[in-house]
Amino acid sequence: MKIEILGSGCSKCKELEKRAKDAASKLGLKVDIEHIYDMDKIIERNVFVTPALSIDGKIVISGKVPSVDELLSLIKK
Amino acid sequence: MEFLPIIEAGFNALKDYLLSHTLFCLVPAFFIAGAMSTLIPKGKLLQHLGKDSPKYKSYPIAIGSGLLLATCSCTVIPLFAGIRKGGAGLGPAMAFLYTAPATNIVAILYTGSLIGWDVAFSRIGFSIIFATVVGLVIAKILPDKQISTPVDLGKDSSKSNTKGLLLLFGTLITILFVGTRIDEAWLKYSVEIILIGMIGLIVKRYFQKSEFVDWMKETFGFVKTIGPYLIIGVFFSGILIYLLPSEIIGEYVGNNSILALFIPVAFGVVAYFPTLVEVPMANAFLQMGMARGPLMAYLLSDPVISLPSILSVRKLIGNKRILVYAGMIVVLSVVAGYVFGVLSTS
Repeated sequence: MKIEILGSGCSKCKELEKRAKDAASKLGLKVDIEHIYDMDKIIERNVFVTPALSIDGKIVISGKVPSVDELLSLIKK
Repeated sequence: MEFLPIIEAGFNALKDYLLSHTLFCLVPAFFIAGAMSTLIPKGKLLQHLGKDSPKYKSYPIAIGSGLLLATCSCTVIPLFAGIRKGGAGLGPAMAFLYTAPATNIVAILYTGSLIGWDVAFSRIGFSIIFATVVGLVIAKILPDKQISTPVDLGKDSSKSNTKGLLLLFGTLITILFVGTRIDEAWLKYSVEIILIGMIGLIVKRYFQKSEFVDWMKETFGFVKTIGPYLIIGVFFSGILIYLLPSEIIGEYVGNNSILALFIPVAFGVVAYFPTLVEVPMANAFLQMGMARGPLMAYLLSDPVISLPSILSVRKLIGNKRILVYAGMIVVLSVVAGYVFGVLSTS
């Protein structure tokens, strides 16, 4: 499974990355987490409101920082 | 020099400020900021800023969006890139980029309740003019080269809730007005309680529970991130009043001369205050005898051309454009300050 965090490096994006890592380690899954900072690449993915999170290439969250619990249920799906 | 009185001056300013402004001005402002950043569907804005939208439509919408969105760079930078590359182009994107930090609604409301509504409304008026001029000029003299891969803005499927949003923001702003404009205590408190009850009803009728939770979380987030800076800002503005003899302020920025207008703008470039802190600072300067023209020049320029903001915008638009951008803001701020000074003292 691959999780990508899309965000220019503001505090919310860092928080999202931290929570995603928490959620992944809670599930004990082997997850690749990558943080994309490059705004051109973010825009190419049709994300205009950061922070955003994608799971296996699909954008599931844009513009907010969900709780670890919400992330857990998103990852499980 | 005595050290203790200096600290005391800082604490006095803080005490005075917290007592008179926190409950009725700052608290509603934080709730409004939280609601703006969670409840307004931002992706929707882009659909009105497509490639084919004419200038008379794209500029006002870009500026309006800048006014409505709160101040987080997480929001501003990707939307800027989206408007520029996928939509209406560099001009409206620049207009948006200027308005977002300079004139978001929260800063305006805060200016109005702390300093005065004539200053607040003029701040909006001038910012709209600045944004339009900056956008048009930069798009004209330093246009984007043909963009190789235009970005598809896509469709935003989120449903809009215009009626609920209008009611909610209308009531929130009324709360702020009532709190700062009505002096009679019993009237003020009873009206406020009714209005807060109305907020409850509006939220229940028009919004999901998750939206409400997000709103509260975001509001608390703003309190946590901006609150400390405001407290520090006010503390130091008190110290500043104590240390700086008001003759100096009166002598250098107490009139409407070009020099007096230029000094606060230059100060704004060097002194970096986090967003909203420019307002108590400006208020302190005003109390020490700064004239209204320089005050306006300061408020219009400080949030936009302080060094850190300039550096982050430079990354987005490059060296040449940032020089033009900053230069224009300096000149426009001085001119606007002059006009405001003449109009408000005549």
